[in-house]
Amino acid sequence: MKKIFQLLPVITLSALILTLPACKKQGCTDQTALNYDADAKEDDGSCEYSTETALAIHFNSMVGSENLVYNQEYTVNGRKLKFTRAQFYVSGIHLEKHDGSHLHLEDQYLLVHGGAHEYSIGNVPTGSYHGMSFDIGLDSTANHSDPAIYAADHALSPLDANYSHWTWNSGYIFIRLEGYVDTTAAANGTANAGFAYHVGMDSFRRTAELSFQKDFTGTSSQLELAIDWAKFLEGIDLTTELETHTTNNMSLATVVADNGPDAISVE
Amino acid sequence: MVPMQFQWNKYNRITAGTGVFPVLAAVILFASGCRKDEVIPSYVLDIPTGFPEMEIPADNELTRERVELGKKLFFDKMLSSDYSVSCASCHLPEYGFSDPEQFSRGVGNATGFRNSVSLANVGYNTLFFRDGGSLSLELQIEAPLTSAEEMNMTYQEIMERLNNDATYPDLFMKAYNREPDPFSITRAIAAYERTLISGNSRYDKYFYQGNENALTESEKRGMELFNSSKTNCSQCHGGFNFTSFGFENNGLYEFYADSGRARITTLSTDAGKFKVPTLRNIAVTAPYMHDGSISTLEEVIAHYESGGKTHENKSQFITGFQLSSQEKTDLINFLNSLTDYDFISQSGN
Repeated sequence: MKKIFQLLPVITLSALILTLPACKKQGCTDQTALNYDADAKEDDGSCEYSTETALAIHFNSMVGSENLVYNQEYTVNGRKLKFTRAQFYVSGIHLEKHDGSHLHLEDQYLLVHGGAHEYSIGNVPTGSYHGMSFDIGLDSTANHSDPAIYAADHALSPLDANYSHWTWNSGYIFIRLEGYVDTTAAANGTANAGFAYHVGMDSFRRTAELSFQKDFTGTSSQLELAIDWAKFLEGIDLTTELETHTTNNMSLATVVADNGPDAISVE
Repeated sequence: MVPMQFQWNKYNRITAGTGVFPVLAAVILFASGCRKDEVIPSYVLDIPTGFPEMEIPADNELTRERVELGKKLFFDKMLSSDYSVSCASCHLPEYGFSDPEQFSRGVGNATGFRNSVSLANVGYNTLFFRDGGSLSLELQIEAPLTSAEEMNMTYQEIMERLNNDATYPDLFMKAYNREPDPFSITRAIAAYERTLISGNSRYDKYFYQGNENALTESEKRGMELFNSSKTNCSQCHGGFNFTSFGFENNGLYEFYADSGRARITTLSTDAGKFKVPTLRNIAVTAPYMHDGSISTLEEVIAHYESGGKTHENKSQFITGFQLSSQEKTDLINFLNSLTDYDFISQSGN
């Protein structure tokens, strides 16, 4: 009986609120909130926010200032050139928050390929970020793992349409660039000589470091990055240096690998 | 320590169930994991006397269903793009699971550049291919399946064929509790290959099984020569499987078109080195050498007798020797005694 008296003010108050004229529906009016109420007209401070956001990296493939389209002709190193394949594996994604904290996405692997594609890297804490780094290429453990162990939707699965593994050697092809180039001395012919730069061995992993100021809030966020595939070919003599499968031309593979980090930029 | 380091997979959205759900999920995963992964290794390998136990990977314990599925796949030409070759086309049982051709023929009669290896006791190897480029029996299978010169397939194509087959889907479920996929396909073939054990030659009967009369006097003299410091054969071809499991340059060439082990390691000290092959069933695994360039055992012995070509990586044990014609006969007779007729009379049925 005593309890009822204690609760009486609460009951009264509730009754009062309920009987108030509903001129404006109250609720959370912030669309980025988890409990956003589309019908609410007046914010009542009840908004609840996610402590993490699903982050995706959007890679835009470029050749210089143009968008990359396979089999389309561009001018690279002063020569006509077209790509038929352009891709690399990503591992070791590392994000740095503005407050100095770090996030290592150790289990995230991407197979980034030509065109404009979005790659989900999972949930990260919401907040202000000022940089990221990732490796073009795979850590040694992943590189020498058996591709058959990965689920079909994993970036390292042999069932990925762009899967690239040496097979005769236990490791992935970190960077794979293929296409045709004009090799004539005067650079006045057609892009008809095949090139193939296949780079991959533990020692060819390179780290790309990027700085930016981005707030990742809401349930999903996106980071826009650009890849200039032409930059992978910087310093290469396209009349003669047309092929490496890494172990058969280590120096050329080194040039391509070293060019990698410079090919990535924040849009 | 980096301050405020977030642990990726612990960082979950805060919900009412935070406290309970991960625990519950872990319990469920653990419980089902136990049931699913715990495979009773019901297939017991017949390890010959004198042979060590074979290491079996935890994710591919042997069962009869797995071995039988692997065997069916090994002999099935459906695994090649034009249905013309199976694994057994280049690893023929009657030739000790090797190929009498210098370079095996894949789809469309395509050829590679190395001689097909014998698969006798292949489950004891730790590195695969003549240059050791592959790290496991399971992992190496992708190369012949997908190489344009061999079976010229993609996993997607193989899966489609197997899924459309009347019997395979059921066999895969029984063996691996999953559909045909890269994991189950490679595991099944590897499971079968681990059963390719050869240890019942007349040499084995003499040396390991205590049958004094299993070898002739000439073969016994040949064995002595084989193990002697005169020929140094057993320096590289010693042990139960007649191999050190290492890589050696045997002085075949001054300049190697095929860099061998160096193709994998990129080390100049590995140039011209190839995996030391087993000599079991050597009488039926001609032609010899990594490139199948020598067709008879007589010529092989002549090569080692000459000491081979000069090469900075050549094995220190290859210095040349001289044998009488009787000694040569004895040595060859001994090598012939390494043929295991039980092993080479297997069939795909």
